[in-house]
Amino acid sequence: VAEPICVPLGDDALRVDLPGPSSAAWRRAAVEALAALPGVADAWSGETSLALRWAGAPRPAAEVQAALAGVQAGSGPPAVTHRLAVCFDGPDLPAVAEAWGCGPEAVAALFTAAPLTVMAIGFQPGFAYLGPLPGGRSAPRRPQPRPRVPAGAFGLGGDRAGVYPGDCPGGWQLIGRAAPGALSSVAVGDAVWIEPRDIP
Amino acid sequence: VSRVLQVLSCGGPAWWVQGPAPFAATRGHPPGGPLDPAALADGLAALDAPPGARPLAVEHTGVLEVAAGEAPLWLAQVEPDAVALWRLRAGERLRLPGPTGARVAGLVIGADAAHAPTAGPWAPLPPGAWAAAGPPWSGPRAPKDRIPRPRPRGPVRVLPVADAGPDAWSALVDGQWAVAPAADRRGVALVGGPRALGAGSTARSRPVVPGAIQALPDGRFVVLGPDGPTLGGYPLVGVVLAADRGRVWNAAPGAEVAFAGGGAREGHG
Repeated sequence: VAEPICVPLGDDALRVDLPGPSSAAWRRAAVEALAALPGVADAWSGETSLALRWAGAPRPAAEVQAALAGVQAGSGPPAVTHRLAVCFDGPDLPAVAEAWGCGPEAVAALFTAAPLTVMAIGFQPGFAYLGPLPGGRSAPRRPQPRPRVPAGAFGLGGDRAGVYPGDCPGGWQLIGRAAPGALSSVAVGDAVWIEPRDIP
Repeated sequence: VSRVLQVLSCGGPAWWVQGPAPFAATRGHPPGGPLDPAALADGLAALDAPPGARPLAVEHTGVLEVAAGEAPLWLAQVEPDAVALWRLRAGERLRLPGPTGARVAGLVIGADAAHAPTAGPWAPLPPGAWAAAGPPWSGPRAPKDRIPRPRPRGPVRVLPVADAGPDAWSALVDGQWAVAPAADRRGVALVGGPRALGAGSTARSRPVVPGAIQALPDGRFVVLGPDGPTLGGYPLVGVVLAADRGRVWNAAPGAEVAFAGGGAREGHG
């Protein structure tokens, strides 16, 4: 069985590259296990890697690997279900609908069929990567990123969706709007139900 | 004493560098903190800060006018070559010069912060803001007006990360770099050296840290700052060692910088 590969990030942090696919539930539990290790100041996860920051002197990587060996999906804090009101009126909605072979209203309906999962959080504080998209669909990033995406924009990038918490440049396809801080309290592994709604 | 220092005016953006961090990287929040950690340490040392003191500190980009509150206090303004010490009586005003030879100037206030006045890893410092803090200590035991700071020499030390490949690493350590004018607390771009094309991007964003050097698709390098992202999709060339990060983050626009490989501490990796 392949073991996670530990990659030092400078002299005060460690990245743990996972050998294969992992569920968000497992990564949620793994982050808890890393955060509980002696000397760890902070721990977080991407979709293919975990990371931790040391408070003081780094500990041997073997201790990190040993802590992860016993992690089971579901052994972390229970997942929470959230509801996200989205107004499907983004400038890229027609293009996404055409690419998906349906109308704009059908795009919104697709998102109500099943909840999305918080796969990772980062890029911006509170930016949650939600996935997978309905029916395994995807939406390629725009060839030219917009210089400014407004806070609250609901966008698609590849097979992930997300709400921009703050204004910033961005290359995702914008298909709607939500409250900018609507996902500020989610954690990796949480479920998010999309609720289409008119937002002035 | 709950109000020890008031900001009267700022000649440019200024911010608190300490404060509670209610969120963590698990929610995408970077660690924040000073743009020049070594300056903060030198300011504390110059003030003979008691062990475990939680410093109240400010970084400012222009002239800063302050006034002492209800009690006297000590200030240590950290410049590239020296620490200047100031003693203010209650209510006394002081006009502090802006940074010279650096992007920001650091100001450490001789008081224990009972409750720091920030709401996140850092916060803007508007005119009129008060620093709310606990009782100030008595100040340096052997006060001097200026305490020299030895300026670090040699290349900035980087621990390599193999994401971007050997060509990108060679470009980084062989190039002569300058700090781009457009930099902020999220990151500092490097200009002047060779471009490392072909590093690509990762399929999924991976964890990154302050001091990480990303290779962008157009071949440029960016050194992530204390407010940088916690996940990034560009491959890493390396990570600047903690002690050297302030040399890049707080370098004046156009300042030359060189990089070299540096080792990790024992027990790591």
